[in-house]
Amino acid sequence: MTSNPEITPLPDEIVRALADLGDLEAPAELEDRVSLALLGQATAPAELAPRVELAVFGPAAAPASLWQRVVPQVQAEGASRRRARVLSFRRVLSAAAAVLLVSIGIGVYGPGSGTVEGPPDLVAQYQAHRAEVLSKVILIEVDPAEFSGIARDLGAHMGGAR
Amino acid sequence: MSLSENELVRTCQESDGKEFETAFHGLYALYKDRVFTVCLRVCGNHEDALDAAQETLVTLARRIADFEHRSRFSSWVYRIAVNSSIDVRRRRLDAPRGGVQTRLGEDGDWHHEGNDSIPGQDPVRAVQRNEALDAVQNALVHINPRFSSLLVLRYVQGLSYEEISETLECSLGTVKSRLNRAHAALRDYLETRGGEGLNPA
Repeated sequence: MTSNPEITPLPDEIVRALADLGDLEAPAELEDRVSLALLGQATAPAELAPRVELAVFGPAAAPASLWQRVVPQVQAEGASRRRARVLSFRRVLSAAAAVLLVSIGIGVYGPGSGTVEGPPDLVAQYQAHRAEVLSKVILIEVDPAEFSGIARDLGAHMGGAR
Repeated sequence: MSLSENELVRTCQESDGKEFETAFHGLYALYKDRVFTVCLRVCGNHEDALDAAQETLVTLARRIADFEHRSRFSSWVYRIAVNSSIDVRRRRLDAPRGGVQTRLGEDGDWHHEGNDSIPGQDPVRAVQRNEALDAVQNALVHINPRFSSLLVLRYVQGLSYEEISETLECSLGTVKSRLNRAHAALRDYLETRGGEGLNPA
């Protein structure tokens, strides 16, 4: 420095202070950072996250308040499931009843229902009632036009008007 | 068998894989402290120095094939370190971070936090010495980074003018002229801001 006339030298104290700023040791961290930078960044596999979570947080004990929060939810869900079951049972019942009614309807009013005897008591009541009424009738006035030819001949034969 | 610096450089340039890794680790061991020192003194704090040193050494590994052996390998490494430090310092100019070795105090000045006391030294002298280091480090991070790089290469790393000329890829005359301006800037800063334990005049 002092041997070079072109440069205005710095005071010795400053030069010493500057020199004392040297001789540092690089921190160990530097090597890791350089190695990582040179390796580049690989994509972590998906399985890493749960493993890290487990390692970091561990299997923690559930707080007591969790039970208080879970129970009402489970109960509510159970009730709705039962309601769903009842509703579906009702639907089955309704369907069965509808089928039964249709079957009865077909049986009563369907084809050939005229030849089918009604309930035995009704038929018997009707026949008994008819016999009673006929037993009381002496004369029934009938318009001959209402009868067929054969019926009119038969009536005339029995003394009726033609 | 340990290889010389030149052999390590050649091996890095001509090989890859494990061989490259081993040779580069040798170069890393040779340069890590020097690189970190330059970066810390130019950047002024530990974190930025780490960033700059990392950038330097990664660049070294990635671009070693470009080194043409026309200058000293050390000059090439210092050039990368100076450029990386200046880049980092510019990026951090608006928001300097506190560091371990040197931190920005509430007064806006940098304070040396390293234990630089010499065993057996008089405590008063140790305090004065630390104050002097604070003052100089403060000045280095406040003056133009081109000047502080020059001062660090010359006085902290002890490079000759020729080595600096090689490192900065400029003529000897330019080195001397810039060094003169760097001296003036350092003195001005110390006079203006006060350099405890130092006599800038």
